[in-house]
Amino acid sequence: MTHTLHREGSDESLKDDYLLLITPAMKFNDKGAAGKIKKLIDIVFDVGPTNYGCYEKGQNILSGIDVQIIKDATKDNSRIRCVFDSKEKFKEVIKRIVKADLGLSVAVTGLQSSIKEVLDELNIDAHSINIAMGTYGKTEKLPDEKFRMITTMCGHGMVSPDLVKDVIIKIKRKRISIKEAAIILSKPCACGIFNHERAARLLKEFIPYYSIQD
Amino acid sequence: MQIDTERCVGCGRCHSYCPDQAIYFEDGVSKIDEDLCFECGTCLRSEICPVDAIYEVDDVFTYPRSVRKFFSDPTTTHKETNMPGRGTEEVKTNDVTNRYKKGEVGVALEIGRPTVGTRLYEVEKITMGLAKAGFNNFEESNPVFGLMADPVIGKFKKEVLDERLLSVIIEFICTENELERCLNVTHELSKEIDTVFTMSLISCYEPGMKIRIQDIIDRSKFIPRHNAKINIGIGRKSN
Repeated sequence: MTHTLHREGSDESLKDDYLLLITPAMKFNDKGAAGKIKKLIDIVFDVGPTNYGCYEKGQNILSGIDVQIIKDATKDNSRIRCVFDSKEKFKEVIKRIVKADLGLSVAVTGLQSSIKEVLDELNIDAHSINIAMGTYGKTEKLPDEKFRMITTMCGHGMVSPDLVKDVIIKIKRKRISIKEAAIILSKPCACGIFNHERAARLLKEFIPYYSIQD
Repeated sequence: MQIDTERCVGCGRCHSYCPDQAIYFEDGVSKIDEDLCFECGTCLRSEICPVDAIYEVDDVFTYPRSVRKFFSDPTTTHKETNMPGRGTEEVKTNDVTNRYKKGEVGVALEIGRPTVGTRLYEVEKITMGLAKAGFNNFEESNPVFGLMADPVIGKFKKEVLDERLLSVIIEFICTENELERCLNVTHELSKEIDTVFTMSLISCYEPGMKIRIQDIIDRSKFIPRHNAKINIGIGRKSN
């Protein structure tokens, strides 16, 4: 599994989590791709992603970069990586991207049943699939399963389990809110696929399971 | 990464940002265990240090230390592929590249993820095991290929074996006819490594989004999750 496929959790916790990935194919359609990507960025921001990342700046929109900075940094090998927290927005963005017909490859990640439902509604018969087959090997080395449901939302493993622990302690001590904690957790994810809305929902669910000692 | 111990005030704010717990206290200031450090740059990008004591040394881009950087920091671009991150397009552009055709299955093993990390000698255990079983057509456009001394037997270059990386993705293609044996071999190899790996399988759909390899997956010892990455098929060649 790679990148967006690492996400862990129940179907219920993953149902409002739709990832969009638009990628120029090197040597096939990357020449002049920057202009197309900028048009697609406009479409994506017009619909309104939950989070959006910029590899070129190493930051996502929750870290403070805006759409103009992202567009200015766009090159032919840039990629669109973002997440939507509602089926309606996800369906709308796919519909507009298909209509724009710019020729770049579009991949989406989420629960297979949820994605198929949206694609069926748009009469799209998808091309190929990358199936998440799970985690193996020395799994006893893995951190707490609840922490992983949050940390694996960063496709490159940049969100540390210790940071989850740190924000849980701060929430418990009433130094930050759950919403602020979710934003803190989202910042290390440079590619912007960390869904802070889902993180907030998970933190709210998990908080009662942990206690802190002075 | 390193911390300027003259400047560090020992607040410890950076510690929780490290995905590898490589930052520790010593003599009242924070230090980075260079042997553990992935060079992912998360501590620096977090801008959490109140006195700007975290910095990147020049030798991070000097081989073989550079291997850590290119495989662990998603904001870097691999020289071999001109792709940011770890440098694979896999299913994301399959509608254009036709890398995985009907009758073929793309196999991707991401070693070290989630969270645990890996030395390259652990990765070599898997590549050599796969190669011994005949699965040695490792993807040449994946940057891992460039680290191999002998891809035919899955052997890595000696100087990179001890390097510690956040993740390494091994990619290869097998036929649908060979997939069942491939999954059995991979399951056996999972018992031999001192880290974790995740696996994904890439396949073209049949009409109606029917998964061609579902029966083989159902017979295997692997338990697939309900999520997937799906190429919706609207890309085209234009170069």
